Amino acid sequence: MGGTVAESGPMGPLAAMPSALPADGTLLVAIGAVPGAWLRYRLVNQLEPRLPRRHWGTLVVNLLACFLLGLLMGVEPSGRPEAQQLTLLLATGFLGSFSTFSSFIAELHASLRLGPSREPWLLLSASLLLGVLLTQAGLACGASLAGERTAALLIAPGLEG
Amino acid sequence: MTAPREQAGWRDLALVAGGAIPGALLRWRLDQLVQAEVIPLPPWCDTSLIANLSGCLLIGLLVARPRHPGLFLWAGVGFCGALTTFSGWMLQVSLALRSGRSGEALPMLLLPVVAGLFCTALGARLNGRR
Repeated sequence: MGGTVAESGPMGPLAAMPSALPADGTLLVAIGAVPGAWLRYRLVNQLEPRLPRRHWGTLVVNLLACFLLGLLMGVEPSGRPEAQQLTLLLATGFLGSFSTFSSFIAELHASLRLGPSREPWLLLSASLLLGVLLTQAGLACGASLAGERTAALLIAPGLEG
Repeated sequence: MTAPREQAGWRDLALVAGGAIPGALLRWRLDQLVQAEVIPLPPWCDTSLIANLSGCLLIGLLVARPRHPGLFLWAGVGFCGALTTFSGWMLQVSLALRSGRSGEALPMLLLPVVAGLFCTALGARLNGRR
Protein backbone atom coordinates (compact mmCIF):
# COMPACT_ATOMS: atom_id res chain seq x y z
CA MET A 1 0.00 0.00 0.00
CA GLY A 2 2.98 2.28 0.65
CA GLY A 3 4.36 4.56 -2.05
CA THR A 4 2.04 7.17 -3.46
CA VAL A 5 5.14 8.75 -5.00
CA ALA A 6 5.97 5.57 -6.87
CA GLU A 7 2.36 5.25 -8.05
CA SER A 8 2.24 8.75 -9.47
CA GLY A 9 5.47 8.21 -11.36
CA PRO A 10 4.25 6.56 -14.59
CA MET A 11 1.63 9.23 -15.18
CA GLY A 12 4.12 11.40 -17.05
CA PRO A 13 2.76 14.84 -17.94
CA LEU A 14 -0.03 14.48 -15.39
CA ALA A 15 2.50 14.37 -12.55
CA ALA A 16 2.01 18.13 -12.16
CA MET A 17 -1.15 17.37 -10.16
CA PRO A 18 -0.50 13.91 -8.79
CA SER A 19 -3.16 14.04 -6.09
CA ALA A 20 -5.84 14.83 -8.68
CA LEU A 21 -5.40 11.63 -10.65
CA PRO A 22 -4.48 8.61 -8.54
CA ALA A 23 -4.58 5.47 -10.59
CA ASP A 24 -6.31 3.19 -8.12
CA GLY A 25 -8.77 5.34 -6.18
CA THR A 26 -11.62 5.08 -8.69
CA LEU A 27 -12.19 1.41 -8.07
CA LEU A 28 -12.05 1.80 -4.28
CA VAL A 29 -14.59 4.66 -4.22
CA ALA A 30 -16.90 2.77 -6.62
CA ILE A 31 -16.64 -0.47 -4.62
CA GLY A 32 -17.53 1.40 -1.41
CA ALA A 33 -20.35 3.41 -2.99
CA VAL A 34 -22.51 0.47 -4.11
CA PRO A 35 -23.10 -1.24 -0.72
CA GLY A 36 -23.36 2.22 0.86
CA ALA A 37 -26.25 3.33 -1.34
CA TRP A 38 -27.95 -0.07 -1.34
CA LEU A 39 -27.78 -0.45 2.43
CA ARG A 40 -29.18 3.08 2.86
CA TYR A 41 -32.08 2.30 0.51
CA ARG A 42 -32.93 -0.99 2.22
CA LEU A 43 -32.50 0.37 5.76
CA VAL A 44 -34.66 3.45 5.13
CA ASN A 45 -37.40 1.26 3.67
CA GLN A 46 -37.20 -1.11 6.65
CA LEU A 47 -36.99 1.61 9.29
CA GLU A 48 -39.52 4.12 7.99
CA PRO A 49 -42.72 2.13 8.83
CA ARG A 50 -41.30 1.16 12.24
CA LEU A 51 -40.40 4.65 13.43
CA PRO A 52 -42.88 6.91 15.20
CA ARG A 53 -42.30 9.91 12.91
CA ARG A 54 -42.15 10.38 9.15
CA HIS A 55 -38.76 10.77 7.48
CA TRP A 56 -36.84 9.51 10.49
CA GLY A 57 -35.49 6.52 8.56
CA THR A 58 -33.10 8.83 6.71
CA LEU A 59 -32.24 10.51 10.01
CA VAL A 60 -31.24 7.20 11.63
CA VAL A 61 -29.10 6.23 8.62
CA ASN A 62 -27.39 9.64 8.57
CA LEU A 63 -26.70 9.54 12.30
CA LEU A 64 -25.22 6.07 12.02
CA ALA A 65 -22.98 7.33 9.21
CA CYS A 66 -21.91 10.31 11.37
CA PHE A 67 -20.81 8.07 14.21
CA LEU A 68 -18.96 5.68 11.90
CA LEU A 69 -17.20 8.48 10.00
CA GLY A 70 -16.19 10.08 13.30
CA LEU A 71 -14.88 6.73 14.49
CA LEU A 72 -12.87 6.23 11.30
CA MET A 73 -11.45 9.76 11.33
CA GLY A 74 -10.77 9.49 15.05
CA VAL A 75 -8.63 6.43 14.43
CA GLU A 76 -6.93 7.97 11.35
CA PRO A 77 -7.28 11.74 11.73
CA SER A 78 -4.39 12.90 9.58
CA GLY A 79 -4.84 10.55 6.65
CA ARG A 80 -1.51 8.72 6.74
CA PRO A 81 -0.52 7.53 3.26
CA GLU A 82 -0.87 3.96 4.51
CA ALA A 83 -4.48 4.64 5.43
CA GLN A 84 -5.48 6.60 2.35
CA GLN A 85 -6.85 3.60 0.49
CA LEU A 86 -8.92 2.53 3.46
CA THR A 87 -10.26 6.10 3.73
CA LEU A 88 -11.18 6.11 0.02
CA LEU A 89 -13.03 2.79 0.33
CA LEU A 90 -14.80 3.36 3.67
CA ALA A 91 -15.13 7.13 4.11
CA THR A 92 -15.35 8.56 0.57
CA GLY A 93 -16.99 5.52 -1.00
CA PHE A 94 -19.08 3.68 1.57
CA LEU A 95 -20.05 6.29 4.18
CA GLY A 96 -20.23 9.15 1.67
CA SER A 97 -22.72 7.12 -0.31
CA PHE A 98 -24.51 5.71 2.76
CA SER A 99 -25.30 9.13 4.22
CA THR A 100 -27.41 11.53 2.19
CA PHE A 101 -27.98 15.25 2.28
CA SER A 102 -30.39 15.42 -0.66
CA SER A 103 -32.98 13.08 0.90
CA PHE A 104 -32.71 14.90 4.23
CA ILE A 105 -33.40 18.26 2.55
CA ALA A 106 -36.07 16.87 0.20
CA GLU A 107 -37.90 15.35 3.19
CA LEU A 108 -37.51 18.54 5.20
CA HIS A 109 -38.89 20.46 2.22
CA ALA A 110 -41.84 18.07 1.93
CA SER A 111 -42.47 18.34 5.65
CA LEU A 112 -42.42 22.16 5.52
CA ARG A 113 -44.88 22.14 2.61
CA LEU A 114 -47.46 20.20 4.62
CA GLY A 115 -48.30 23.38 6.51
CA PRO A 116 -47.59 24.78 9.97
CA SER A 117 -46.34 22.01 12.19
CA ARG A 118 -43.50 21.31 14.55
CA GLU A 119 -42.45 18.21 12.56
CA PRO A 120 -39.96 19.92 10.20
CA TRP A 121 -38.36 21.80 13.09
CA LEU A 122 -38.07 18.61 15.10
CA LEU A 123 -36.47 16.86 12.10
CA LEU A 124 -34.09 19.76 11.51
CA SER A 125 -32.97 20.21 15.10
CA ALA A 126 -32.63 16.47 15.69
CA SER A 127 -30.55 16.12 12.50
CA LEU A 128 -28.19 18.98 13.32
CA LEU A 129 -27.80 18.43 17.07
CA LEU A 130 -27.55 14.65 17.00
CA GLY A 131 -25.41 14.78 13.85
CA VAL A 132 -22.76 16.90 15.55
CA LEU A 133 -23.10 14.95 18.81
CA LEU A 134 -22.66 11.53 17.19
CA THR A 135 -19.76 12.70 15.04
CA GLN A 136 -18.03 14.03 18.15
CA ALA A 137 -18.79 10.78 19.96
CA GLY A 138 -17.33 8.83 17.05
CA LEU A 139 -14.21 11.00 16.98
CA ALA A 140 -13.74 10.57 20.73
CA CYS A 141 -14.23 6.79 20.57
CA GLY A 142 -11.89 6.51 17.59
CA ALA A 143 -9.24 8.61 19.26
CA SER A 144 -9.36 6.55 22.43
CA LEU A 145 -9.16 3.39 20.33
CA ALA A 146 -6.11 4.73 18.53
CA GLY A 147 -4.42 5.87 21.71
CA GLU A 148 -3.22 9.14 23.08
CA ARG A 149 -0.84 9.98 20.25
CA THR A 150 -3.77 10.28 17.86
CA ALA A 151 -5.82 12.24 20.37
CA ALA A 152 -3.10 14.85 20.56
CA LEU A 153 -2.99 15.15 16.77
CA LEU A 154 -6.75 15.53 16.60
CA ILE A 155 -6.67 18.73 18.63
CA ALA A 156 -4.06 20.19 16.28
CA PRO A 157 -4.65 18.46 12.93
CA GLY A 158 -2.21 20.80 11.17
CA LEU A 159 0.78 19.34 12.97
CA GLU A 160 1.28 16.46 10.61
CA GLY A 161 0.10 18.12 7.43
CA MET B 1 -40.86 3.50 -2.06
CA THR B 2 -41.89 0.86 0.48
CA ALA B 3 -43.80 -1.35 -1.98
CA PRO B 4 -42.94 -5.05 -1.66
CA ARG B 5 -40.98 -5.62 -4.85
CA GLU B 6 -38.65 -8.36 -3.71
CA GLN B 7 -38.70 -10.06 -7.10
CA ALA B 8 -37.36 -6.89 -8.67
CA GLY B 9 -34.51 -6.78 -6.15
CA TRP B 10 -31.71 -7.29 -8.64
CA ARG B 11 -33.08 -4.69 -11.02
CA ASP B 12 -33.34 -2.23 -8.13
CA LEU B 13 -29.80 -3.02 -7.02
CA ALA B 14 -28.51 -2.41 -10.54
CA LEU B 15 -30.34 0.93 -10.74
CA VAL B 16 -29.12 2.15 -7.34
CA ALA B 17 -25.56 0.99 -8.06
CA GLY B 18 -25.64 2.54 -11.53
CA GLY B 19 -26.43 5.90 -9.93
CA ALA B 20 -24.28 5.57 -6.81
CA ILE B 21 -21.00 4.88 -8.64
CA PRO B 22 -20.98 8.07 -10.78
CA GLY B 23 -22.38 10.07 -7.83
CA ALA B 24 -19.63 9.05 -5.41
CA LEU B 25 -16.92 9.35 -8.07
CA LEU B 26 -18.08 12.85 -9.00
CA ARG B 27 -17.99 13.97 -5.33
CA TRP B 28 -14.53 12.47 -4.91
CA ARG B 29 -13.07 13.91 -8.14
CA LEU B 30 -14.59 17.32 -7.38
CA ASP B 31 -12.87 17.21 -4.00
CA GLN B 32 -9.57 16.32 -5.62
CA LEU B 33 -9.81 19.21 -8.07
CA VAL B 34 -10.63 21.57 -5.20
CA GLN B 35 -7.74 20.19 -3.11
CA ALA B 36 -5.34 20.62 -6.05
CA GLU B 37 -6.71 24.18 -6.45
CA VAL B 38 -7.75 23.48 -10.04
CA ILE B 39 -11.19 24.71 -8.97
CA PRO B 40 -10.74 27.74 -6.68
CA LEU B 41 -13.42 28.16 -4.01
CA PRO B 42 -14.12 30.99 -1.56
CA PRO B 43 -13.35 30.14 2.09
CA TRP B 44 -17.01 29.77 3.08
CA CYS B 45 -17.61 27.16 0.39
CA ASP B 46 -16.25 23.64 0.04
CA THR B 47 -16.69 20.51 -2.05
CA SER B 48 -19.42 18.98 0.06
CA LEU B 49 -21.49 22.19 -0.14
CA ILE B 50 -21.28 22.18 -3.96
CA ALA B 51 -22.04 18.46 -4.16
CA ASN B 52 -24.86 18.76 -1.63
CA LEU B 53 -26.53 21.72 -3.33
CA SER B 54 -26.27 20.12 -6.79
CA GLY B 55 -27.91 17.01 -5.35
CA CYS B 56 -30.69 19.12 -3.82
CA LEU B 57 -31.40 20.84 -7.15
CA LEU B 58 -31.56 17.49 -8.92
CA ILE B 59 -33.73 15.82 -6.30
CA GLY B 60 -36.08 18.82 -6.46
CA LEU B 61 -36.43 18.23 -10.19
CA LEU B 62 -37.07 14.53 -9.56
CA VAL B 63 -39.62 14.69 -6.75
CA ALA B 64 -41.66 17.39 -8.48
CA ARG B 65 -43.07 14.82 -10.88
CA PRO B 66 -42.58 11.32 -9.51
CA ARG B 67 -43.46 9.47 -12.71
CA HIS B 68 -41.06 6.61 -12.93
CA PRO B 69 -39.88 4.64 -9.87
CA GLY B 70 -36.88 3.31 -11.81
CA LEU B 71 -35.72 6.82 -12.63
CA PHE B 72 -36.02 7.80 -8.97
CA LEU B 73 -34.01 4.75 -7.85
CA TRP B 74 -31.23 5.52 -10.31
CA ALA B 75 -31.04 9.32 -10.17
CA GLY B 76 -32.51 10.01 -6.71
CA VAL B 77 -31.57 7.14 -4.39
CA GLY B 78 -28.40 6.21 -6.29
CA PHE B 79 -26.89 9.33 -7.86
CA CYS B 80 -28.12 12.14 -5.56
CA GLY B 81 -27.76 9.97 -2.46
CA ALA B 82 -24.14 9.12 -3.24
CA LEU B 83 -23.21 12.56 -4.58
CA THR B 84 -24.43 14.26 -1.41
CA THR B 85 -23.11 13.55 2.05
CA PHE B 86 -24.49 14.23 5.49
CA SER B 87 -21.68 12.67 7.50
CA GLY B 88 -18.93 14.59 5.65
CA TRP B 89 -20.73 17.84 6.41
CA MET B 90 -21.10 16.95 10.11
CA LEU B 91 -17.43 15.96 10.25
CA GLN B 92 -16.40 19.40 9.02
CA VAL B 93 -18.59 21.10 11.60
CA SER B 94 -17.21 18.83 14.34
CA LEU B 95 -13.60 19.45 13.33
CA ALA B 96 -14.26 23.22 13.33
CA LEU B 97 -15.66 22.91 16.86
CA ARG B 98 -12.71 20.81 17.98
CA SER B 99 -10.10 23.18 16.61
CA GLY B 100 -11.63 26.11 18.46
CA ARG B 101 -13.38 27.68 15.45
CA SER B 102 -16.76 27.46 17.16
CA GLY B 103 -17.89 30.75 15.63
CA GLU B 104 -17.85 29.09 12.22
CA ALA B 105 -19.95 26.12 13.33
CA LEU B 106 -23.37 27.80 13.27
CA PRO B 107 -23.07 29.26 9.74
CA MET B 108 -21.57 25.94 8.60
CA LEU B 109 -24.69 24.21 9.93
CA LEU B 110 -27.32 26.66 8.72
CA LEU B 111 -26.06 27.79 5.29
CA PRO B 112 -26.31 24.34 3.66
CA VAL B 113 -29.83 23.81 5.05
CA VAL B 114 -31.18 27.16 3.84
CA ALA B 115 -29.40 26.93 0.47
CA GLY B 116 -30.39 23.26 0.12
CA LEU B 117 -34.08 24.03 0.71
CA PHE B 118 -33.82 26.83 -1.84
CA CYS B 119 -32.21 24.51 -4.42
CA THR B 120 -34.83 21.79 -3.86
CA ALA B 121 -37.65 24.33 -4.22
CA LEU B 122 -35.95 25.74 -7.33
CA GLY B 123 -35.65 22.26 -8.84
CA ALA B 124 -39.30 21.56 -8.16
CA ARG B 125 -40.28 24.93 -9.65
CA LEU B 126 -38.18 24.31 -12.76
CA ASN B 127 -39.97 21.04 -13.28
CA GLY B 128 -43.34 22.68 -13.15
CA ARG B 129 -44.59 22.23 -9.60
CA ARG B 130 -45.95 25.41 -8.11
